[in-house]
Amino acid sequence: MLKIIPELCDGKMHCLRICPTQAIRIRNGKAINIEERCVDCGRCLQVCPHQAIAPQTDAWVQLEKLKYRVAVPSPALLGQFPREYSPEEILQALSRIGFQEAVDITQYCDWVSWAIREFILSYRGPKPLISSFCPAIVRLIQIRYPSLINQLIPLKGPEVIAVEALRQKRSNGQMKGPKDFNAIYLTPCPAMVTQGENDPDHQTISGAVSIRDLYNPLLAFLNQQPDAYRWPMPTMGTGLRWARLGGSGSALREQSWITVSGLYEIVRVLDDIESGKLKDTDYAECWSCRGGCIGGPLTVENYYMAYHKVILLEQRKIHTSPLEVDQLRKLYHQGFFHLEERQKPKSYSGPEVNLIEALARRRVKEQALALFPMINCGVCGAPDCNTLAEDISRGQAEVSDCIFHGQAHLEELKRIYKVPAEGDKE
Amino acid sequence: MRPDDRQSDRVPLLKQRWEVQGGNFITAGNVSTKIKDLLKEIQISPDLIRRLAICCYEAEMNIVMYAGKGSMTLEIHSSELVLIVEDQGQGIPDINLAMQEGWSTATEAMREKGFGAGMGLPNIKRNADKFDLTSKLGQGTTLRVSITLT
Repeated sequence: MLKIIPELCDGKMHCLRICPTQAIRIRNGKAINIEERCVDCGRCLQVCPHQAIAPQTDAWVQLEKLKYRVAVPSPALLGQFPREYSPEEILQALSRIGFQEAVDITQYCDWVSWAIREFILSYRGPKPLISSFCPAIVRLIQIRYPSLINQLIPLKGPEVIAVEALRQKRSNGQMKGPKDFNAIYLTPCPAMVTQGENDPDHQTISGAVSIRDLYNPLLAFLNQQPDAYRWPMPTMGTGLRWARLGGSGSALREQSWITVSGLYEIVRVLDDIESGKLKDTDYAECWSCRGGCIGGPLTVENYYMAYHKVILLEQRKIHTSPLEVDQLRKLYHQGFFHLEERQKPKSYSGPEVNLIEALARRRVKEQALALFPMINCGVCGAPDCNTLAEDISRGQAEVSDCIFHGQAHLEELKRIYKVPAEGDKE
Repeated sequence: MRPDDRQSDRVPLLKQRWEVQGGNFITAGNVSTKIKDLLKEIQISPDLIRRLAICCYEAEMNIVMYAGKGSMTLEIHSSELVLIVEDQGQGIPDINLAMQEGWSTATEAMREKGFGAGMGLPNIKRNADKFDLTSKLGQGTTLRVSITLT
C-alpha cells in the first residue's frame, strides 16, 4: 500500500487524475488513498511533484540489522547503469555495499519461463492463462476481474524460485554457505513490496528495498575500481529478457501468446478476455508498468535507455549452461514451481449486499449522476463525476461536494487553496 | 401463488437497453463491456458475470456482422438475468443449421478479421441456462437467454 505523507501533499490533484483504479480522493486539500481500490501500480508516485507518495519499501538502515543478507535483484536493476558496467560487476558490487552475496535472478527467470510452457502444455481450462508475476496485475484481477482469477497462472515468480532454490542447494549440501539467510528483493516498483504482506509464497523474502535507494551507493562503488571478485561469475542467460517485455513467454514456441503493458491497456485486454474474445490465445503476459519492469516507478534510468541496454546485454556472447530439463522436470513434478495457495478475489465494492440493496444503491448513483455536469473537474475530491456518484451511493460523499451544487464547499475550497477574491491584494 | 406475486416476477428489478450498430467493428464489444460493468457494480457473482459476458459478446458480434442494427436489453429479475437481443437483419433461414458448431455464413472479409468460425450461437447456448432463438426471414432475429441467479 502506498502511503501519502500529508505534510508534503498540497492537494494539487496530479495523483487524483492519473490513478487508473480511481483509488485517490482529495479531502480537505490532501490526497488520501483508498486501500481496497489501490493496486500499488505506483503511477501516482511518478507524477507527484513533491514526493508526497512514498512506497512502503524497507529502509536500508532497518535491513542492515538483519543477519546474512542475500540480494535478489529484479532483472530491471541490470539495465540501470552505464554500459561499461557488466551485470557481473553490478552483482559483485552489491556484495560490497551491504549484502553478503547476490543472486543471479536471470537464471531462475529462465526456469520459470520453462515452467510456464510446461504448465500451458497440460492446461485444459478457459484460455488464455494470465501471467501472475506482476503483483499489481494480480491485485487488479482480484479486485476488478474476479471471474478471471482462476486464469492466473499458479506459478511462483523468479524471485521466489531463486531464493527457494538457493535454500535447497544449501540444505542438501550442493552449495556452500549459510542455510539461514535473509533474502532482500531489489525492487523496481512498490507493488512487489506489498506482495509479501498477504501472500504466503512471498514470505520467503524478508524485505524489499527500492532500486532508487540503492542506486547512488552502487554507482559510487562501481565508479571506484572494484578489486578481485569474491565469487564465481554468475550466468547471464536469456532470462534477462524478464526486465523488458516478453521474458515470461520466451520459452513458448507453438503457443499463441500476447504481451501487454500499461494498466489502461491491460484493462481493455482483461475486458476482452472476460468476454471470451481471446479464447484462442494460450497466454497473456501482463505488466502494470509500460514496457515491463524497466519502466517501474522505482527505477532510475529512463525507460528507453534501459531498454537499449538490456537488449545489448542480451546479445552478449556469453557462455551459459543449457537448461537441465530433466532436473527442472523433476522439480516441477515435486511442485517446486507451483504456488502453495491460489489467489483469491477481493471485493472493492465493499461488503457483499443482496441484489435488492445493490440495485437500490445503483439507483442512488444514477440519480446523483444525472445532477452532475460530467466535466470530471475533480474539485469535489473524486477523480470524475461517475466516481463521485459511486461514493455518494455508498454514503461516502454528498451531492453538495460538487461545486455546481454546493456553494459552501466552494467557499471552503477557496480557503483551503488560498484563492483570493478578485481585487484583493496580497 | 397470488396473481400479484407472478406480476412482480415478470416486472424486472432493472431493465436497460442499448443500441448496437451493425457493421461497425471499431465499437464492437462496447455494449457487452457496459453490461458486464453494470453486473459487477451490483455484485453479481463472478462466475455468472463471466457466462453472461460471453453470451453478450457473441450476440453483439452477431449483430455487428449480420444485421444493419439491433439492440441488447438486460433485465435483472430476482431469480435470473435475462438478455434479449433483437435485430432487424435478414433473419436465419434454418435455425437448426445455425446452431451446429462450425456452421457459418460469414464472408471471407469477416473470417479475415478472425470471426465467423460458426461457434457463436452454440457458445451462447452452452453458457446460458435458458436459450430461445426466433427468427423471421427478412424481418429479423430475437434471441432471449437467461442465467439463473444462484
